[in-house]
Amino acid sequence: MKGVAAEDVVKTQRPKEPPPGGTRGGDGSSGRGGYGDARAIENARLGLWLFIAAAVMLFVGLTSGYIILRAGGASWPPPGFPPLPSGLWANTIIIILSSATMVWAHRSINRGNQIGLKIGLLLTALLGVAFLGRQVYVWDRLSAAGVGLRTGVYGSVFYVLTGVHGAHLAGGVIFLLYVLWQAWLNKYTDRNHTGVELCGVYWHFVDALWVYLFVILYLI
Amino acid sequence: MSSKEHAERAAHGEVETAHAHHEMSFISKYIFSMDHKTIGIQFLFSSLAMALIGGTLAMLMRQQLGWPGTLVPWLGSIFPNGMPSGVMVPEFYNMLFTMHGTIMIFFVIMPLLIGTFGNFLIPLQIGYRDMAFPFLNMLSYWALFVSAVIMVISLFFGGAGAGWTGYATLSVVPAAAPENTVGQTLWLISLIVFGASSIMGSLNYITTIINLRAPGMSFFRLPLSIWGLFITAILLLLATPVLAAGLAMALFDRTAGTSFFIPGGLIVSGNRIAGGGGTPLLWQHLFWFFGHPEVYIMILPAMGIASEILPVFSRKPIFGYRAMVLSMCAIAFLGFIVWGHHMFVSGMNPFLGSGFMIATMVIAVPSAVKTFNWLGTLWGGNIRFTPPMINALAFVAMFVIGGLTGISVAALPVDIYLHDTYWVVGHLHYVLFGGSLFGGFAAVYYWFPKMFGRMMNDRLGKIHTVLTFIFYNGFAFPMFTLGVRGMPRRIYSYLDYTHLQDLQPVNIVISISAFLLGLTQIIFLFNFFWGLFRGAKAGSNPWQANTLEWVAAPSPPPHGNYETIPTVYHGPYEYGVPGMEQDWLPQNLHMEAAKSASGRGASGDGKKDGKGR
Repeated sequence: MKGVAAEDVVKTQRPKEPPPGGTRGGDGSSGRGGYGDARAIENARLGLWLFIAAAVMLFVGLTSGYIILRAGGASWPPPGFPPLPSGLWANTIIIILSSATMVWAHRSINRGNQIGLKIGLLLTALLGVAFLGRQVYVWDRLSAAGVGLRTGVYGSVFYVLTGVHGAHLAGGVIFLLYVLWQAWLNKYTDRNHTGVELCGVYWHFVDALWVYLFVILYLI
Repeated sequence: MSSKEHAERAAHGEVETAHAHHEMSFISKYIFSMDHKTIGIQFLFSSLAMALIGGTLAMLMRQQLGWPGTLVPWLGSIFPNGMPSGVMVPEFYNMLFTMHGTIMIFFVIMPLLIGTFGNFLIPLQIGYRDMAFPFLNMLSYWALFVSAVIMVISLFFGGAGAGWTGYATLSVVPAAAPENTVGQTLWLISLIVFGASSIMGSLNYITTIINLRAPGMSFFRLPLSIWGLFITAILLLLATPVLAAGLAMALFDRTAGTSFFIPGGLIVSGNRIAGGGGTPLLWQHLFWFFGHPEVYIMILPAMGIASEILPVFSRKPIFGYRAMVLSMCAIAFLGFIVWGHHMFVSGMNPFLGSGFMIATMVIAVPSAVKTFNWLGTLWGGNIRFTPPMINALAFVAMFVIGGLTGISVAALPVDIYLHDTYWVVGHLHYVLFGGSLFGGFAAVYYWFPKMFGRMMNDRLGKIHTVLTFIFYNGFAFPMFTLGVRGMPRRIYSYLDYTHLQDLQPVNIVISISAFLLGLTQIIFLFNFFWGLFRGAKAGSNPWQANTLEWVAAPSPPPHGNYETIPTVYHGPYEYGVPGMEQDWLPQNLHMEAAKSASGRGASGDGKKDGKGR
């Protein structure tokens, strides 16, 4: 569902019809805003930010659950369970790197550099896939250490939080591949590349989300 | 557009393709439509269909409560599992109240008030051709459709039995309610899909209202119905994901063996549940963090609709437009910080409870502002008693009762006595039926001519409204008596308790009123479908209203709504403007232009409505 929503945001960014002529607006008392005036923000951008607001609330719900459960227990991890694998450090570095390559892609198209855009997007998508693969590897290590979905609340929160984040990040990878495909067709110019920008906004969001999860799950 | 194409093709002799083309255009025009008006009408029909199911469940419940344990052989033959040999089993009763609540809240009131009128009204009233994201809009309807289908399918698998609030651990441990094993899982899945639909819809509404207003349509010239929907959409966008988080955890607990809501060492039917370490109270926090804004999600659109209808039929400007807007904002904000008042007796810290109590009582202030503004609008007005108006008046009256009975349970000490009794059931029915559904009826009667281009019958509408009002109060008001007498809600047979046995006559009154209320809705359905096919043709502005959908578009509006996007010159409630021949001033008409046109201008072919003067 996530990927579909993101793609749709891109598709609908074109204006539906030319704005009405400058004579509109009537008397001097006509209000601000509205279609005839320059919009402060495009539909797609606003829609994406609203979607991010909803996703933030989803993780507010999930992580407040985690905080309540963790505060309710006597010790964390609960007695008999190992700490989370230190492999999560590597994942965090990968995801921060992918944000950097995304910034590089965006700056390239700002200067009209199509090659830089394509390489930047491709690297970002590859790093995203690498992150997902590493997450699965961490899951595997953790379950080998005896922390499973069914072994109590410790495993429950880790698998569900990282899983839901992974689903959002996978949606981001699909968004990236779509933008990469559009870039391959040379659809973006230095002036007109809203798709790249929005993809960047979403990608930085899922990255920041991971850093937040990393801090509250692993560091604290 | 497609019918024009069709005509052209037929004229060119492409007869062999014409039939196939026609079928395709039917599907794209009425089924997978991206036109906001068609999507709104799809929501309307879906909610009517679900209302029939939800209402039937309520009737079955009232049969059991009016005459507990009585043999009803013909019902036994319809429900061989739930009512073997004609006597209801307790598990079936649990399923009835759970599914009644769920269906009425998520699949009747929300699709009716938000889905139907949000989609239909937002582009029309702000003066644009469609939603910002038409494809997302279509997805939002079909996600709702899928979730409704899953919910109906769950009825055939024993339904859910943990109440509409789905309290853990009953809802997350399958062994705790073996008769609902599949049904409860489907219930969770259905609501997750429903949440996706809500998020897509609300994102669309907010973007559309912010970005696509007609020239001159500033925020403070928006009709109050749009304000209600705008604030509702913000609440939905922020509250639904939290419910989704809770539902996802519950679904994982149920199917994947996690233990978010399952405490350690829980023993169900003699078996220890594996895992553990979670807390059932977490579900209550997550659910009510969504659930209390949800109450305002269901009432704010109705408030907006009433604020829209009262001035039209009082022929007066709304009293205190900005106060109306700001009070809605205040209600929405406060709605987010009061969820704990649903949990006073759950073992929450009492100091926390006092905070929630005070915050809850503060909501009475903006609610009272709205109520007095509605009364101020009526004061001295030239009132026309049309069906939409009577429903809007019923909304105001019933909302006051719903609000006042809510304040009594918001008081922590009183709630300790009244919680989980029929007092609460009466209160929520005054808010959700008396408030939301009377608002919904008002909206259907009011915008029906614009939706379908025909009028509903005035006399039948009045009969339906008055009878609904009487029978509704007949079933909901005595519930307060039951509550004060201590009858618990969600109880299968109160006759098992000696102190409740003398309450059977009251329960019979409630049951008979409920059956009559159900029968009364046949008048509404008849009127609706009769109006759809046989109703008198409606002019573009039969109510002589000011807002754009009436004054700048025909009934029903074509695809794209407006020939040219209208320009807005003033607020939506300019009725009875001094120095004008006609007593209304359309939003798209400049006052000077209106005066020089001396009343025959852009208001269209407004059918003169002399009734009720």
